[in-house]
Amino acid sequence: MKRFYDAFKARMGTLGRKPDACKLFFLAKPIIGDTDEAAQQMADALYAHAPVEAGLAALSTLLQIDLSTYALDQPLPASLQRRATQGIRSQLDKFYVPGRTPTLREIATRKVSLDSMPFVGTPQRVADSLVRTIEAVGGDGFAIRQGLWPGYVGPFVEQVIPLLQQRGAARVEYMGTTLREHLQEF
Amino acid sequence: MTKMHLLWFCAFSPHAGFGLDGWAGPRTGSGYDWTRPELWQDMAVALERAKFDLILLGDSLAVPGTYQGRMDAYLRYAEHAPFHDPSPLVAIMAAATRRIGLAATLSTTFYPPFLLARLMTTLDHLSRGRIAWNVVTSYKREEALNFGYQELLDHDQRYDRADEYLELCAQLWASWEPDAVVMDPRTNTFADPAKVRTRAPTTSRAGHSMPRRRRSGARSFSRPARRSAGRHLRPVTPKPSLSAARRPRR
Repeated sequence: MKRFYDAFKARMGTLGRKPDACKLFFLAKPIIGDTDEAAQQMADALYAHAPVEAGLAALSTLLQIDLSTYALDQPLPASLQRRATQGIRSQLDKFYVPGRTPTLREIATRKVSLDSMPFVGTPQRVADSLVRTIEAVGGDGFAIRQGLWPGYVGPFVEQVIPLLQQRGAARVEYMGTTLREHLQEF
Repeated sequence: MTKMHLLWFCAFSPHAGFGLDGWAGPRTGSGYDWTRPELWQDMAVALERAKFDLILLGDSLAVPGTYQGRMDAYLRYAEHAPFHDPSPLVAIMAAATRRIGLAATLSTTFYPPFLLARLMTTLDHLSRGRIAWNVVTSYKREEALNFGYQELLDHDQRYDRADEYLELCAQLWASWEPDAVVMDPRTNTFADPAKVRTRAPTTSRAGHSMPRRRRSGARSFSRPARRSAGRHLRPVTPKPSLSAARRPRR
């Protein structure tokens, strides 16, 4: 993350722009529970109930490849893993980390997805992890990637945000009125 | 302490997908109908209270049919479908809020540049400078079919077009100088013609007037995508064509 962040900011410089003129938001998918165990159970349950067919369908369209013809409990053919596809090229990459070759089922159920950082735990743990991550990277922020429903928005804004604000890690008041001003505020 | 910016990314469809975004999940919240304004407006208000920088709404212009060559799985599981048009959504969300930024996803492959530039300018005024455009090039064959094309342009071609498209939009947004609108009843002048460029090139030859680039096999946030991002992306909304001073403040 830090390497990506630094490289992006450096690229801004080579294009003759201020590195801070473009903000980076890292994807995050927090799951909040009363205890760490409860949060983990929630995370497991969500993935456990995911129909594998839905995952295959989602991944098929992202890659623009019909995955219904591949064996579920085998890794994808190496040629497919490496192919530059017509679809979103980064979609497969995130499932492959050194030393691991997941099966199609594992990919489809997103068990091994590194797509979004899964911040799972109590509000305190999630807040701590977010703060630690942004401190390590050096700046900018997070794109909280979840449905726009009370069940997701509520716990995050009611339980995590106050903790971040108390620590000076999140905005307490808007200083400006436009989006441009918000993004350039710090 | 490093302060973090915060964006709520409502990816894929409003209630789509299994698991975390699941319409059937335990945490979606009862009592809301995603086809009605209240869900969108109440969530925008809640995220504004939490001082988020912005909300970003994803979009897609077709029900996919890649898996098994059919729409069935996508429809059954609400996977990557359906979507409301994000432009009116951000407009109604802006009406319910005063500070939070709102980003709509619009495709450079399918929206004519003039239409998009004008839409964004209108939304920018209506929201008092809180609108952003999530620039995408589309990637589904079904999206091409919905617009009457048999195939989608290939990846690098789409990004070449997007490059030129963004330059064109920037020209359109700059075509009225900030003080072009004078609204002076004494001289019976609404706008100073000297401060409005006569005609921006509204017909895009996007991609075709540029030298072909070497094919890139880039993986992971592809090289054309990174190049476009570095060149064009600004954490900003389109420049309003009316001077900010004339806009009423709430």
